[in-house]
Amino acid sequence: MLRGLWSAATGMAAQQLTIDVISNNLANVNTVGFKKSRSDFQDLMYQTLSQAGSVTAAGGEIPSGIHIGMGTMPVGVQKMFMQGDFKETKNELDLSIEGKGFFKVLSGEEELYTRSGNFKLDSEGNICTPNGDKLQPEMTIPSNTISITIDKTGTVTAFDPEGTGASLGVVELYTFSNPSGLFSLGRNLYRPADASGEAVSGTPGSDGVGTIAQGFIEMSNVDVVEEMVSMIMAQRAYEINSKAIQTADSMLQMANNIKR
Amino acid sequence: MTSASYTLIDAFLTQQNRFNTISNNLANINTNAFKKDSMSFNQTLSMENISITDFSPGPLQYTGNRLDVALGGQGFYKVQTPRGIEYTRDGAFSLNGDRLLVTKNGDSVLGKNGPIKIAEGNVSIGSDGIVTAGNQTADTLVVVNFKTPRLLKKGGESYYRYQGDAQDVFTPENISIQQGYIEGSNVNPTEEMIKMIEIMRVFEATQKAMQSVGEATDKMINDVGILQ
Repeated sequence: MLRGLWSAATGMAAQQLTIDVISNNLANVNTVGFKKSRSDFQDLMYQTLSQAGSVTAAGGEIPSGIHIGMGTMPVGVQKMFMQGDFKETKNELDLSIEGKGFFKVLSGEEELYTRSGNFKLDSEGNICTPNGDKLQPEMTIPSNTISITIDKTGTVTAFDPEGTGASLGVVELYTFSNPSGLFSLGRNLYRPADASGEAVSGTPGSDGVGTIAQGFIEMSNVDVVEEMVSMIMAQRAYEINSKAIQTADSMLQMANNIKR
Repeated sequence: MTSASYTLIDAFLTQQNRFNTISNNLANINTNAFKKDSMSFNQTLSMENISITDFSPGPLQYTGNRLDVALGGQGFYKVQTPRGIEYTRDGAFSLNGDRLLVTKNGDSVLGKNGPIKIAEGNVSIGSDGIVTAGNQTADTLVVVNFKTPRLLKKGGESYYRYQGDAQDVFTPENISIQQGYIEGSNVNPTEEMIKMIEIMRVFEATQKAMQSVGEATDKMINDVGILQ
């Protein structure tokens, strides 16, 4: 049967994947610390029907042969760790990272990483994510604290009613050699993988690690206009591949009708 | 009669191959740096068809990703794959766990001194291909071109293999690498749709011709020589 029928089918499947990725990006357009994804494609193998350089029956040389491609395939859906916009909340436990780096949290027994800095306090005064995963290194805010300040370099100071400040420690940030290689778990959490490399701890503001801004949250880095344009492109590409399938169908029908 | 049907079968097969090529182009309409193919008739009378890759540049799309590098002009990146040296124009690179610059398949992109190791810090890739990471120069991306580009064979996975002589590979002058961009596919949907209509109609005409040959043969066998 026509190879083109299957090539067009891979084209439709690829555009479907693009729509899946775009839909997820758009669904998370207001998710704190969300990073958008992008799908990348490559062409599939080529079948050589005649080899370049071989000699024809007439004695001439075939200049470039016939290579027929088999369609396209998805090769990666990659997170794009570009900076999201900042939104001022004035909430003293809303932290955002300006630049590179991730917060480390303890989810059950496992150390995971996140960029969403909308932290809360649990009943024991520990700083934790909205899911209750404790920020690492752990910090307990004394019960008589009336305000907390966290400076650019991550130093946490708690003030008691008399106005005396006590330093509680430093919020460390962690960087990866290839953040795109991190495994996305959902719930804004990432797990290190072979492709991402090991987490390297750093003090905010030094060694290329970003700084912390208190009272701000990092919004999603999804750009709605860009996603809409991608969606148009994916939809039209889907449509044109379906036309190729219709054409293949008509051609096969004609072939069937040669014999009446 | 039979010679006419063989000519027509050849016409069918040609149109099928043209269609397969177009279908592959359309499937790769959103593939990074994909170059469209077309089938062409050989000028000689040997009836051989050839596929030709059109290396005209695709549109550049801004991504802002520091490891997306598009080649502005002619040329190809050099990649070390398990099958040997291959070439690509798809500049959507990534880093692996060893901090080496790799393609999406995990194969090392080659610089003047071999695989490129990127140190910690911000990566910047200049228009001349110089890779700087954390204020120190890592390497220079190798960009090559070919004296006879028609000897480049597509290997799939956006790679090309060069089947000509090694001395035909040269470094072009005035390369322009754009960081933060990827090159799109150079497939033009309108052109492909028109070709597809054309193919379908030629296919249809061939089918009609085949039916006429069939009818004529039918007459020859069943009607000629009947005494009334």
